Amino acid sequence: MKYSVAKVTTGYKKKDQLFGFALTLPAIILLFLLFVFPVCYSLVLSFTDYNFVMSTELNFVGFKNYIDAFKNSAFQNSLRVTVLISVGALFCEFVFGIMLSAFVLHITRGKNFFKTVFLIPMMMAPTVAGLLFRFILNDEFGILNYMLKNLGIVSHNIPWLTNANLALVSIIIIDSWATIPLIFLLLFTALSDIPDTTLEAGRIDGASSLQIFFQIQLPIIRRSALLALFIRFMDVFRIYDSIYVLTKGGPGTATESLSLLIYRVNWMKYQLGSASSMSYIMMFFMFVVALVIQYYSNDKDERRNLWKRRKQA
Amino acid sequence: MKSQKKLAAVLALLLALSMLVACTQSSTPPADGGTEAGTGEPAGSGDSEAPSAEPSGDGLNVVFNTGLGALATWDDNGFYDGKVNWLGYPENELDTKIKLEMISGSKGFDLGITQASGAKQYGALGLLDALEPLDDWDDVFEGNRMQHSIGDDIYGYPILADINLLYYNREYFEDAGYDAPPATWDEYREYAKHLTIDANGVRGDEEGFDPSNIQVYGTMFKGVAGNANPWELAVYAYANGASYIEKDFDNLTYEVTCNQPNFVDTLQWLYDLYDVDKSMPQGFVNYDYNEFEAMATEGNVAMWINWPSMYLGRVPGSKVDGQIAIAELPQGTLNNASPIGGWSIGVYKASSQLEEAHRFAKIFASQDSNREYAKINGATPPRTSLLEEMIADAEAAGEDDLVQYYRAILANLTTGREMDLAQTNTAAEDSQKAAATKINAVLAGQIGAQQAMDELKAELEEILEANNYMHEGE
Repeated sequence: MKYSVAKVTTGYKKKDQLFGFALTLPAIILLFLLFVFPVCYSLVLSFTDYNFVMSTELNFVGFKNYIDAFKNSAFQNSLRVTVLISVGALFCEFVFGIMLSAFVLHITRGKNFFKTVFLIPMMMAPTVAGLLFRFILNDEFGILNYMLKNLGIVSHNIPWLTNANLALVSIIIIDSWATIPLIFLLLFTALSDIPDTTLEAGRIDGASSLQIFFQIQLPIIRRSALLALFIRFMDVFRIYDSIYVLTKGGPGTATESLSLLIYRVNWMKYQLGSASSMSYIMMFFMFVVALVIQYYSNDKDERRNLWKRRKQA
Repeated sequence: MKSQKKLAAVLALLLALSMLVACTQSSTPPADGGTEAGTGEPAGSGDSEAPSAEPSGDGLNVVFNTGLGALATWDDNGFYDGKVNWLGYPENELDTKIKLEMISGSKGFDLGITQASGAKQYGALGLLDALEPLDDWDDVFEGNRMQHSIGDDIYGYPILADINLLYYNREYFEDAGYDAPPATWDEYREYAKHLTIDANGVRGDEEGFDPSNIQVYGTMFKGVAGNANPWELAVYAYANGASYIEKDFDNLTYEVTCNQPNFVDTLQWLYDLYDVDKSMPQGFVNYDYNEFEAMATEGNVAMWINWPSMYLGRVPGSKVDGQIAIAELPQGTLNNASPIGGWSIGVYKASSQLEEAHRFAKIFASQDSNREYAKINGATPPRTSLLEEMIADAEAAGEDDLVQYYRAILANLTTGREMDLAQTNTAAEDSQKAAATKINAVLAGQIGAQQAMDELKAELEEILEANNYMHEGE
């Protein structure tokens, strides 16, 4: 009896599994066509000298495109710009995200109001934000210079977008402005989930507010914070639209990010092989950083155990 | 449970069907502003249809830049008796669209209206069919004829001509004591300095001038690292006998000359207008066309150079309406030659209606058609006879400003020449981008003019060699 029930159940499951597979097959094919195929195709292209306009032939050149990319001063510059923007933006976003979360967590009135207000920048498209700031930061018509001059803070117009260093800082600030809400949202949710009793225990032990924050709240929300870092890093490292609108990579190439350079190589030079190799270098870099973040999202004991398991293996 | 399964099966089937439909559909992009010739009605109305990927024989598919405006209404007089599907794309997308369509194999376009570098570029790529000279080919400005031909092969009939003009604010000139525009570029620099006024009314060449608080700038430049700045720099460079690339079409050789002293001096001269004289706004390095023109129409600048379209398009109704006058470009050490812009129509070799496409191109580029298009869009016709006609009409109507405007265009177009950097065939976009970036870096003070131009020379040589420039097809 027991045997027959098991047989019936297995038969039912198999049929069900087949039906389920048949249902998901179109989606799997779609995913393959739209994701797996382009990824594999561009990997193949990255080892060729394929130029869309000049020739339709694919000549395999091995790792030449990868080696040339690292020798290329434009690529080096773009990598430097991208890393600077990523580090700067992530730092700003986390500092302000934590500050805003702590602020909203501690106020007793107007919590919902502030939560809504802080989320507004996230609702804006990056190109719209870029255009908005392009006007705000314009040296002649821009409201920022106008205000600073009228308040007597500066005596002359500040070239926010035309000085190489300031342009980079402006881009970091604008990107941070647009994405602080996301960090705020993730951190605020994590902080809200900490039980009051845990904080109360800290207070009873005589911990100050700062000690409670750094030694109780922050360690508890570490995983959420690293998840936010992970998401934002992936995003900011691919930064394109706001730079395109604000400076088009200028002045000179002072703000040309990797994405902008890859776009230029692909769509202006039509060097699909080179552009693909650059994209893979970019992806590899992101993958390594993602692994590091992933590793540090475990606590010390988990990391120790991980190493132990690896050694044993 | 059963109904849930059925629903899931239907959804999966729908997904599979939609994929099938998407895969079998035409890859030709949707028509934008498409019309049927002679009616001005949007494509899709009446018997007009959107074009398919394969040339269907049902009308000619003409791709064009939407910035050219109401091309569809061009044929209200019925010059052409056939059917036209107008496929419009913004200027910054046009080049990519054409290459994707015509090189990737879809080949849905019969004709294309392309920018200054388009005809030579696509001609060199073997995409365009050579055209016969028009009956009145000599009526077209020489620079315009050259920029759409490779040797004796014509790849584009010009439909409009573009040339830089000197714009100046008459009121500011009168206040400064000037009764005529500058005749030379040296005078231009002096004028620019004198026309610059700070918030206290002190002029740029007077004692006590405060460069940190300027109210009106003497001049400005489109410094943005798009492709605007190499064109504008060419205006000054050509006048000094300098060029980006010297070409010998007889022997099919070229030399990149952008690092020669007269070119470097021109770039340095431009930078000095900003850095030494303080005659240009600081943000000019990042200005695009909109910001550049907004500065002018807000009355913040006394004189500048720009394309003709601003005079009829942006100036009327602005703060400076009635104050702006147009003049010929000042003379340099050699001449006042300026790079010619403009658009031309070409016939794609892959067209299945080649004969009809050629017939249409001739009609579209004819004198009558040029006249009509100029009337509709305020565009500058590429023919001497038509500009003379327009001058005579304006004189008869007593419109002195317009007469001055057309005369300046005629004079500058007569001496105008092709933009050597844009006419580098398949390397056109890349060459212009490389130059734009280097010029932008100089104007932003990141790098010296000589070093930048030495680097540009090396880059251009590499780009041109990679594109087999002047030896295409060998």
